[in-house]
Amino acid sequence: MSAPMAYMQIKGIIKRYGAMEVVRGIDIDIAEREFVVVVGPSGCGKSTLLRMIAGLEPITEGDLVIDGQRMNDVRPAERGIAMVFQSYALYPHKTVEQNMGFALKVAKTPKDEAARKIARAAEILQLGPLLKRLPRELSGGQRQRVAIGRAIVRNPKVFLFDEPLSNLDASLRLQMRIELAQLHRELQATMVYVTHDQIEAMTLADKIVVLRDGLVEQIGAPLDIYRRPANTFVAGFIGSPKMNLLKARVVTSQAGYARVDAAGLLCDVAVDRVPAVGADVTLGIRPEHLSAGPAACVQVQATERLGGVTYAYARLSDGQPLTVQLDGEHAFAADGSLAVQPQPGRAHLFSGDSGLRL
Amino acid sequence: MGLVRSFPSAGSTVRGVPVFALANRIVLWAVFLTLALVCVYPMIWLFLNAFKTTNDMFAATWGLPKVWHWENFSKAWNYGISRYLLNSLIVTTATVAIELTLATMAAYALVVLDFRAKAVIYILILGGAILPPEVSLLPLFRVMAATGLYNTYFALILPNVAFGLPFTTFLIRAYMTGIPGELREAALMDGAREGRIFREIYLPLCRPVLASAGLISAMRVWNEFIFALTFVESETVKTVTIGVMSFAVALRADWGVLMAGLALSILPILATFLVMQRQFVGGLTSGAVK
Repeated sequence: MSAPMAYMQIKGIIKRYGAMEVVRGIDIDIAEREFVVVVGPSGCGKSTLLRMIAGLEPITEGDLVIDGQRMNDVRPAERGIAMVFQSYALYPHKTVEQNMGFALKVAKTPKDEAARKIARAAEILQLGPLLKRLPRELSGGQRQRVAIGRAIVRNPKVFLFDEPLSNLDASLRLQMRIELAQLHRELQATMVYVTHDQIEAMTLADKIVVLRDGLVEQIGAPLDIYRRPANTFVAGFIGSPKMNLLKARVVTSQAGYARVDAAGLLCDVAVDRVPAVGADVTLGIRPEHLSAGPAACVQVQATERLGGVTYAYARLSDGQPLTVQLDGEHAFAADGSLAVQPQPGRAHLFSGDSGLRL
Repeated sequence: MGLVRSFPSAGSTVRGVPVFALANRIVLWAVFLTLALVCVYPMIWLFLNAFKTTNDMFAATWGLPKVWHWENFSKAWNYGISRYLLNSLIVTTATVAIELTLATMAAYALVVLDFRAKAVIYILILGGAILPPEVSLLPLFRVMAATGLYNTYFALILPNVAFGLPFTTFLIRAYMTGIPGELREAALMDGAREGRIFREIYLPLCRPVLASAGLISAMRVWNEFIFALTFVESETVKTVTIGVMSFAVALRADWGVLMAGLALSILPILATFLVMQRQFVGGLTSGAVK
């Protein structure tokens, strides 16, 4: 069962509520079969963007194009889109089968064809034994599957997911993440997925769109964004635990390289744009890219031992916080001091003024 | 002092229940039982006396009938109360059906649709609840006479619908605001239009409040007196409230039959309430707590 393929173009889309602009001109190209995750903090406009794609919110300016056809004024059901809502939005008085078959009933699909489609979706999602149950008789994960099943039976060109895992507990979230990835492989459908959880973004996406305040901060493959964040916002948002962003000063610089000093932590960083010596910059180092070494001595304030790794929450000599991830169960000196050094080639440098990558 | 000493200590129990909790329970039971008796005793009195003769009734008004005179009911029925009951049934059923249909559609529009002056229209609808029916009796009487509706069922149905709509709309609207908007959006994505969403999603979900609103409306219309007194005079259209009044005048000498007639007049609405009381309470309280 594979979905009809579709590409989507979001061209300069703006959404205004009165004078308030919540989406401020977004351009995204989504290829056929691509799994795009739109990620950003609460209130960044990601759900509004998804609702505009779905046709549930009018687009104030810009164009939404699916397979070359402008969709701005097309009714939601006629866009070839199915949406999985954050709250699942299952019809409480209809059984699983009726929930999944409602769109087919509205479309006057012949009964045997509808039954076949429902059975197929139920098989994919392992919902067979639950077809006669009401939503209130299902667990959270099962409800989520029904919501996805309801989308699948419509055989849409594009699937939209609005934070579909946010109501599930941690273990179920992990399981559903894996199932969603499998579903994408199986259906080969174009999918747009909105979340504030950067782990979901990293694990599911072919392409991540990072949003902030209604604007795109960066678009790229998950690991590209992880390796080369475009600015301090993206650097802090993608990656767990968060990247350390330290105030630093350029000590020396030459073509493609700068040495910076962050309260005694000396670090060599590869750069595209060479900063002036003495310039204020932000040094970005992920906790997992720091290791024990002689570059700087920090004071550990608190630790978290997770067995496989140990997180040390420390401070530099000027008080700036620094998180360090160490392998295994690490022991610390009695006075709480820890000698650390950045792994070569893993640090990032951002402009002290604009926050943009150098 | 002796009295105080005779009270059990705070830690004592009676069959495992702490004395304090037991005392609490007894007081609560006493209060609720008294309240229930205050509400129910007129009905008990009515039904008891419906089986008595006039002499029995005045001899022992609270006693059980010496002989159960079931024939009082057949006499009352044959005296014409059956016609009044039928008229009340027609007026009540039609009013409730029209009122619920209009109020549900109005509530849906007020909750779900986006249109200009929505708030103003809602306030105007609610404003109808402020107007006492007595104020509009004369103008309505003239309208009824001018339109030829006087002395017809519509003379009772239409004003009852009009005066019931504000509260019914208010009640159903309040309930509908608790239905997640995402259900409508999901149905829109599924290709349904507003009419279908209303019929297939909202109406089934509103069943508890429809039961409550319908019951409240039915009780109001069944017991309605002023319109029934003013807008109809023919025996063929008179409802039970007016019918019972003329019945009472004619049967002043036969109290047992009169009581049986009165009992018959409240029986349908009482039975409806008893059957639907669970839904009724559910509709009024649902949405209060998540």
